[in-house]
Amino acid sequence: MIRKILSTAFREYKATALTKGFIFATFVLPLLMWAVLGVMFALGLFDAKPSPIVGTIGVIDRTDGDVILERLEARFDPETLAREYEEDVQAALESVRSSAPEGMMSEAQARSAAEAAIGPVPEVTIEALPDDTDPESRKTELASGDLIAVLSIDESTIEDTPGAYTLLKSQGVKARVSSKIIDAVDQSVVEERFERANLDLARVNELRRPPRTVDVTVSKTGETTEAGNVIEFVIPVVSVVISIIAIFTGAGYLLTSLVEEKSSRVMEVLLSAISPMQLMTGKLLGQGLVGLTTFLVYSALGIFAAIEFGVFQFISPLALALLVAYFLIGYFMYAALFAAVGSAVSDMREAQALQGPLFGVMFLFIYAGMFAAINDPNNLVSRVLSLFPFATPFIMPMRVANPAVEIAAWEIWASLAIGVVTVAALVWASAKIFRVGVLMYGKPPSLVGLFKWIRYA
Amino acid sequence: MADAAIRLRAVNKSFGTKRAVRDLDLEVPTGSVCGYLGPNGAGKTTTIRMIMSIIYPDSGEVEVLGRRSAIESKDRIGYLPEERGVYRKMKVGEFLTYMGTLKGIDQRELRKRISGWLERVELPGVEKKKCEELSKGMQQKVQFLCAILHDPELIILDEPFSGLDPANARLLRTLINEQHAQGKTIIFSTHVLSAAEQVCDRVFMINQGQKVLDGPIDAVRAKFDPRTLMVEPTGDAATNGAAQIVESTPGIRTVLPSGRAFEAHLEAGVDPQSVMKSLLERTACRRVELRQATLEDIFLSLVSTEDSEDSLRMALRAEGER
Repeated sequence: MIRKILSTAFREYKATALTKGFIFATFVLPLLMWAVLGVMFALGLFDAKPSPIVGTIGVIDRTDGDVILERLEARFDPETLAREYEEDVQAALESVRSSAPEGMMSEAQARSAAEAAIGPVPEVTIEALPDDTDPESRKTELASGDLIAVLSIDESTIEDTPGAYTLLKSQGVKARVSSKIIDAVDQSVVEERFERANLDLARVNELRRPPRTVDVTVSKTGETTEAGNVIEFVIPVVSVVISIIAIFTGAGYLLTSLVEEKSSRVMEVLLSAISPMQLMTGKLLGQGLVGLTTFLVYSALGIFAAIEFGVFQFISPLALALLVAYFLIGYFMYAALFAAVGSAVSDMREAQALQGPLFGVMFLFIYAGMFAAINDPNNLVSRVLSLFPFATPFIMPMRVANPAVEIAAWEIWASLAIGVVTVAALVWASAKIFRVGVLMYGKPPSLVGLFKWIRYA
Repeated sequence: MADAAIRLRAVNKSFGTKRAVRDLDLEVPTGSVCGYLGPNGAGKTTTIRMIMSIIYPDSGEVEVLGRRSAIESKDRIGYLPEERGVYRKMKVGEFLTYMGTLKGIDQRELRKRISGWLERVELPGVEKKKCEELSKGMQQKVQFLCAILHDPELIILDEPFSGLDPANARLLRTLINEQHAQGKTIIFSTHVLSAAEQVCDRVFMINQGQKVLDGPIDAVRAKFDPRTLMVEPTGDAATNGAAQIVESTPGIRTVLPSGRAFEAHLEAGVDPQSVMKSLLERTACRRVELRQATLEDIFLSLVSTEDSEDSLRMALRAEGER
């Protein structure tokens, strides 16, 4: 009896978990994703490739002594540009080092990635135009791209506050380039104003820097971190993602293998050796083990990341224990449901047709509850929906994982009780459907038909 | 040990409004080879599934190997279902090992038996092949091995001959006879009557859910009057109009070609001797023979109304030849 169930469970596990596809999806994919995402975030690669800042800027400076022209020439001097560029690269490298795991990429790789992110060193030539030049007369050069911009600056630009100047630029000039030019003019004008007022701009800037906040959060166990509010978002989201992936991996494979047994007609051969109940139990256990494997791998990755980022102390042992409990409840809930669906159909297409309406409604509740819980784990929507059986295994781990709030103990107990009762009821009903369904071929029943089978068996 | 390996008493089973099996009594003596015959849809598979406790009767009793349910003695029963499949991605050896393990054979013994049996069914060395690489007939032999691997006392085969070529059908008959010689009880369903005729010592016949015949094959044959003549005219039967002559002989109802000869089926109640005599008066014959009743004749006389007999007979032949 037990031996038969275990043999079935073992075969299920072997046929599912020891396949190249599963191993790749479970172990290689998350590692790859993590590595790629880490690098991309660190380097801001999600922005488009930066456009190079290259070209000639015509400057009509009507100020006394061409002060702005001088300052612009200094700012766009090749040496200055090269020095600023190196500073930007170093800053980017610094942020890569702090966020990517050590040894993931060599120094040279990191540098070329950083340079790719920032773009090439700007090459800008400043061309002084006579004071009486009409900016409009340079349109052809702007159109042809010989000039990328023409600046027209007056004495009043400096003296009035805020003052004004004109920037004519050719159509192809990217926002990044024009903002670099505007920034240079703005800074030059401000510097000139400070100098005329005999004020030390460097000193003023220094004084204007606001103090850095040391944002310390104290965990329930009294430990502290500077990670701030991120943990209130990341830990719950990671928890729910792990739950979703693990539950639907296990339950999904159960459906696939069941439908395969039915469509290949191996079912009755099996039933000559074991009873439908033993088969279903064995399958539930075997694919549960598959789900658990996924769960453990992803959880281990999550915990490893939490330790790496120094926020592990915010994951309470209770939350971890509950994550496991809700995973088990969720797996058996959906596996029982999928077993009923899988036993009733003859092929995968019919299974999807039967699953469709079931899932549409269910995911509506799950998503509503999840989004409500991200913002505020204790708001009414998420509290009500976390007691809706099919949403419980997803919303509850999210709420209890949030280190910022305390979930009432009665809610946890109630959700666990509702989960266990639902699992018991579903496994019971599904067993009935399973017994009728496994040997039925032909037109699949409707959802209403399935309910009839529960009574029929 | 019970004297009957399988005993059904007043078993009924309906699917919706369709009564698949009605008031069926059945007794399979221990050590016998029983053919379970009937046209498609007669209720054979339903009966066998009830014997296997895969489905349950609405009323009546089923007793298998002295137990109230086959579940209690699954490991002592070998079953080849009509709807049979294999795990397509699994290797043949693994599949047989899995099935054997489910039946409770220990691993080392299992390995020995599997390679021995595979050789016996002319599939040596396929253990490492995936099941999907085998032809349908080869898969069927593997499935047959699943049924007998654990050396069961009772072997139940649902349509074991369908889909097998003549050579493999002969191999299967030999294997069934071997198992019988070892004292196993075997029951198999089929609608290919010639196969049943060659191996069974007992037959049941079912039609529209009701038993229409039950007994040792010799007794069944004796009970039915011979009603068929084999007539082989001299010369070329196709050109000399012998068929018409045979057909027009009084007392002969229908004529079916059978090689160079004809099968002439007699009308109910006529004396075969007088028909043979008048046949010989009408045409020159190489052979006129009173044939022993075949299961086919018996089957048809039991399950069909007079006017559809011939079409059924033709249909059965076509099925059998496939």
